[in-house]
Amino acid sequence: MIGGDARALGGDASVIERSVTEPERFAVVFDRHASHIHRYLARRVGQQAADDLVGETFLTAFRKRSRYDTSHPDARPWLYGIATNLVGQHRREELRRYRLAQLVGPDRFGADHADRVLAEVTSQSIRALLGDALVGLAPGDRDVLLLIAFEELTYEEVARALDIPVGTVRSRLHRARSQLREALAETEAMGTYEEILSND
Amino acid sequence: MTELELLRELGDGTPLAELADLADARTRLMREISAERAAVTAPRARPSARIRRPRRSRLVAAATVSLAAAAAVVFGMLQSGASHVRSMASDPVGQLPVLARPTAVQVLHRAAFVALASATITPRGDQFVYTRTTQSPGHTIQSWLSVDGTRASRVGPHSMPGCVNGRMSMRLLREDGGKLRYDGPIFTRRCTPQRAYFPDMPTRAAGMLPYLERTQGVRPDDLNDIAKTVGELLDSDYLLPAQQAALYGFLAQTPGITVRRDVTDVAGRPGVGVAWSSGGGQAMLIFDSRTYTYLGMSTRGVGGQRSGTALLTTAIVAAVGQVSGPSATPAPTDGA
Repeated sequence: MIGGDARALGGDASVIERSVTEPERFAVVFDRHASHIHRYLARRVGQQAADDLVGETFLTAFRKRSRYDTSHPDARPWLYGIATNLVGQHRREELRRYRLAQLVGPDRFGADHADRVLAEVTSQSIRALLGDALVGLAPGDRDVLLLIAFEELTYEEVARALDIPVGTVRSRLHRARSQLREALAETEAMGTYEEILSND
Repeated sequence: MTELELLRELGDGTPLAELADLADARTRLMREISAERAAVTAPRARPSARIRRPRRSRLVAAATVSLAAAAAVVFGMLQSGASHVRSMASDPVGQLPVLARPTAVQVLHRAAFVALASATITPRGDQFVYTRTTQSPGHTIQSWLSVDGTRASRVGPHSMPGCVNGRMSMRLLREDGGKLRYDGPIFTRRCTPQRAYFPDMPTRAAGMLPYLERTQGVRPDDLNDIAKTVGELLDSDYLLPAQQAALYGFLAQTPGITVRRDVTDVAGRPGVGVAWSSGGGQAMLIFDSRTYTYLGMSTRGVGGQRSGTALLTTAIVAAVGQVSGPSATPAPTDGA
């Protein structure tokens, strides 16, 4: 939906609008957002796949730029949507990462401060539980959950990214959180757990 | 602390890359931008659309022909006299006519033939599947996976408790005077045992897809999902020779696979690849070009980056830490 007075458009929208006829301007969009998109991808499918997919995200975005809705000054949710779609094509890699999170290893801790060590140690045990829970979520629920938990998008931004109504974002998040809580509650000695966590 | 905050911690350690680290991706974008600038400035004679013709029908036709040819060879061998049997066992593929440029289907059928020549060993539940693999040159990992999932497994330096009667016990780590100890409070959680050997996996290609759907969650219309699952099973778990052959035969029937000659696995071993499109890149199962033994699965991303597993050794062993076994129960010779 290209239109409107270019001077009135701020941020990414004006850059993208102009890049339709001046393609080289699109590099600005990369420079502004690639690091965050890359980190999101790395969190879901690992560093190596992320290195590949971040390029693919921006190529896709570039090819679709003439369809960018310029009423949105911030292109990042749009880019998250493209990246999430690519994650969907690497489902097995993503699930494998969450399954590997179940493995508990002895060798990740270099902190000297006792508090930090304990926080990291607890975090790694939790990692094992959460990894398992994430595998069990429906893909659409997992997408919503991780955009909010990992990337701290608002409901509106998630709705835009995934092209779904805000109501659907809420219901998917609610379902995902319930499943997570259920998985965590499955553990006995949860009381002790919460004691440790509340000391952070 | 809410479960959302706990989840956030899971992703917190991931570093934010500098733009310099993303130079490859940026270059790819700039190349595309340049290409479009050139197209925009140069007048186009006529707008053209790239039409992708579906290639499925051609591949299925080719597969049918090769299947018949390979079957003829295999049946010919099996019907020949007993004198061939001993030499077949020591060098099964040596009895087959040499194929200079096998198709993907031919590679898979030969791999199945070779797999069937191996002795069938049936692991016991209390044993472990030992694998030694490489994921990048010079970096090998050893793993011990509990055959029935009830014993603690080890993958490299990491361990995972077994699942007994539907519950898994884990101890929180505890810090004590600078040392980390695995004697914090115990917590248990519900689990299903993660097997490394599947007695109910079909030994024929027919029925393999429903089985993979049901037990591995593959999407039946997604070749990448199917083929990667097969690769993961081959790379990590123990399969009976007949199960391995059945997986190869099943893949051979699946449209969309192609052959890639003169490839190397991630350990640098040369071979021939059975490949398919994966995301924007390609993945493949690699086989030794002469013996058709399985070497490992490898993926090439859109940017050309390679990753994967090279399978160096597999064995059934009695305990974590052992690298060769007391033999598992040999299967009764009933013509497997």
